Amino acid sequence: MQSKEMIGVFQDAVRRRQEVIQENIVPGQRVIGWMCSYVPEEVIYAAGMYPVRVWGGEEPTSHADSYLHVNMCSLVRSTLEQALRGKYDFLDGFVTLNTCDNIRRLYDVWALYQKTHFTHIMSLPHKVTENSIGYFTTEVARLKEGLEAAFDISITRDSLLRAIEVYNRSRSLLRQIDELRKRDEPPITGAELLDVVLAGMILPRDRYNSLLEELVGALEGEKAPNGNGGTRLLLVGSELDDSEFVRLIEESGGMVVADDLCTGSHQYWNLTQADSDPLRALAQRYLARPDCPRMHPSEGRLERIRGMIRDYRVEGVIMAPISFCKLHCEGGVDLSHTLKAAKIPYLSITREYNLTSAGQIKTRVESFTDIIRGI
Amino acid sequence: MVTVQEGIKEFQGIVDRLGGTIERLKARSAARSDLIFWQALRDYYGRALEAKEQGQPLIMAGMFPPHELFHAMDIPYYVAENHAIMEGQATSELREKLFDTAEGYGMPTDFCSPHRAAVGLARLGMQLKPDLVVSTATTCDQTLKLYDLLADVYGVPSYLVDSPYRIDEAGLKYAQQDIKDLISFLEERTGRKLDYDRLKEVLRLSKEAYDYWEKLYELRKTVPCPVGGRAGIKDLTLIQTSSGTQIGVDYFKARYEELKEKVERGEGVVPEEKYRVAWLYVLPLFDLSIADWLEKEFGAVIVVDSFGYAASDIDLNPEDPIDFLVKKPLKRGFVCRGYAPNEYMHFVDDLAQVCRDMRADVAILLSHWSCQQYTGTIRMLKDEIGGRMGLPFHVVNGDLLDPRVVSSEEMKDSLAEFFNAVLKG
Ligand code: SF4
Ligand code: SF4
Repeated sequence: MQSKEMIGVFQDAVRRRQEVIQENIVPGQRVIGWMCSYVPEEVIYAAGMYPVRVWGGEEPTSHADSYLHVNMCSLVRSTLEQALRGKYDFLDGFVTLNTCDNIRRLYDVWALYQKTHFTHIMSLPHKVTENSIGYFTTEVARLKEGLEAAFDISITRDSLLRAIEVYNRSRSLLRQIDELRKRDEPPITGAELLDVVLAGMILPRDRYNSLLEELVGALEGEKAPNGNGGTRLLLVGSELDDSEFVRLIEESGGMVVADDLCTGSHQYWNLTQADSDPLRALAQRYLARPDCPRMHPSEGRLERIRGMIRDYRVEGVIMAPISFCKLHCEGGVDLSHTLKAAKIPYLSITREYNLTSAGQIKTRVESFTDIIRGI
Repeated sequence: MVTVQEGIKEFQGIVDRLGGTIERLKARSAARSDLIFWQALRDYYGRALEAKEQGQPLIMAGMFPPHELFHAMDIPYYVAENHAIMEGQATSELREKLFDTAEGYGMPTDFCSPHRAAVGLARLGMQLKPDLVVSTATTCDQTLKLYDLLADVYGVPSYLVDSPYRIDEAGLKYAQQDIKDLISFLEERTGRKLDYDRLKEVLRLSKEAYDYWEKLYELRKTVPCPVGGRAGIKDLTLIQTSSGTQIGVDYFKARYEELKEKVERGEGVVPEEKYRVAWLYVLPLFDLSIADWLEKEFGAVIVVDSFGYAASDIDLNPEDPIDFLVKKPLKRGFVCRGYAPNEYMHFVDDLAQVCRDMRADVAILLSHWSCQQYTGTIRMLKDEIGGRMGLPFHVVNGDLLDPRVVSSEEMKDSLAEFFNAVLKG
């Protein structure tokens, strides 16, 4: 298959996410919804269960707003709306962490008002130290024990090691694709890569890996560039699971060649290193992944962004926090000062979870890229 | 660029003003606890100023770090949020200037107003430049980011005391090691060595203050309630500035003795207590007179609020200093306890129990516009306290320090409507 056709398979999975999940549930298999990219999915996979990402939908949040105040981010309200509308009734479990105030409260409300059999919140440290890795190891173990107790199963060391291998494979393949973005004319657009990554949160992992293998082969053999020759941009911001937003940027003179998104490069940036204790190895991997703005100190995150600007030859940065996402909005304050100091042009677009004001976004990105090109 | 000299003039002004207040109170033979309160505050600001003038290290701290450690190591500190609230209460002109400055620095207007004021003060060079910043992951995302920003503005190192989401065995162990790492951080950065015997002494004083604070909370259970709605804020201020010092103990002891006498005389804060209000959050700090207005208009006395809540289910043992410092924040305030998950800390049950303990007959919650940590609990609290417990429950929209969100008048209208409805039954 050509890379375009291959990408279509991932895009289809993302577009029909709920149906695709239903189509792929093996009879009798448990399905566990997870929220936040710090959840060590490998533990769920190792349990023989089907891990799927929990996210929002297109419907207005009329029910959710009476449980979560309108000053909370639209991602959590939209996610709760889906749950309240029964769209997550098929889940056997819901796992998240105390990532931010909004997710914490979503979890409380979910645990209190939904009937999901297994609900679990992990305690995620705010920094990466020997002490915090040790602590997070016990939290990963608690997740394992929680699943074992709730479903009367046992998760073996071997199954954890195999899960690590399988997820490392996905990440290595995604890294190979990511490397291609450093080219003058990347063979894959930012919007396409986002869909490729998102599909991993929907499709069963083994099938996902086979598709990725094929895609890597197709992309590497591809002659014609796929990029649009636009201004090289780095996209930063809150959770993003709608590639339309990136497409809009790429139709307005930009080309997203790098991202600092939890649904983007954070998914695959680092692999799990071998350790005699697989739980510790996982704790280490998840804490060492690119920092979300909740992590302290912010310097780690800023340093990584500076590195990406250099390595991907980025000409401008688009910051796209969801409104009321305090972590990303406030994280944008120090980032904007860093960018200013480095003389890197940036544009901040505060958005809602569901894409609105597309015309306005297009105009703003067009003038931003025009300025960068000196038009 | 922030310079070393910045804030000296402003802090000197504060120390002078506090001195003036003390003199005036003496002349009026004010209550002993009042005098001690202002003296303790003057000492606290004076220590910070002196450190700066003498080139000694100074810490900018959050509301929840183990301040006792700083006392034990003789490192003066000031709490950025408290200070911002105090300055933000001063005049509306200054308040707006602070907000505008923070917004000019990139902080969106929906950010917690005391935080915007703090960044405004830092950017305007109106407070002392710290040498170190020490904050906690309690209580919320915005607090977490605020101190990162402040450390960035001043270009100084910072330490975040992490707060595990559950205080189970592993969480406790993690938090204890984190406090030990903080001690190493302070020792390395200041060149001062912590003397554990001195720390235990400080903690004994802190415990004494906390014990009195708890007793004050107990006294507020009395019908009629001996103090009004503003009391909690005053007490919490001293918990933050002076627990671990002798003057802190003196204040809480004096306060306890005064209130005990009032209780023995059967004297309430209002002539006729008609309603006992559980104010399930913080009062609007830009206009505390709302508490007085409630008392006067409706005989409604705020018997508990987030700042005045001293949890009695947490034991502090000065002989186990690290454990003491880890557990201490859990004693304080709904906001702090709200950091933890419902399933473990039973936040909703906790608050329902507080309402019962305080014999509250109405519950009011200030929905502070920027606070997602708290607004996210409204439905759960309403269902439990307003629903299952059957207390009249009211949510008043507002903001802690920014009257441009909802003015005092608008808040009063909303409260009046509620009380009139309650009166009608
Ligand atoms: S978008 Fe921001 S506020 Fe919303 S869940 Fe994600 S991190 Fe939290
Ligand atoms: S009021 Fe809310 S947002 Fe502001 S500091 Fe407190 S918990 Fe955080």
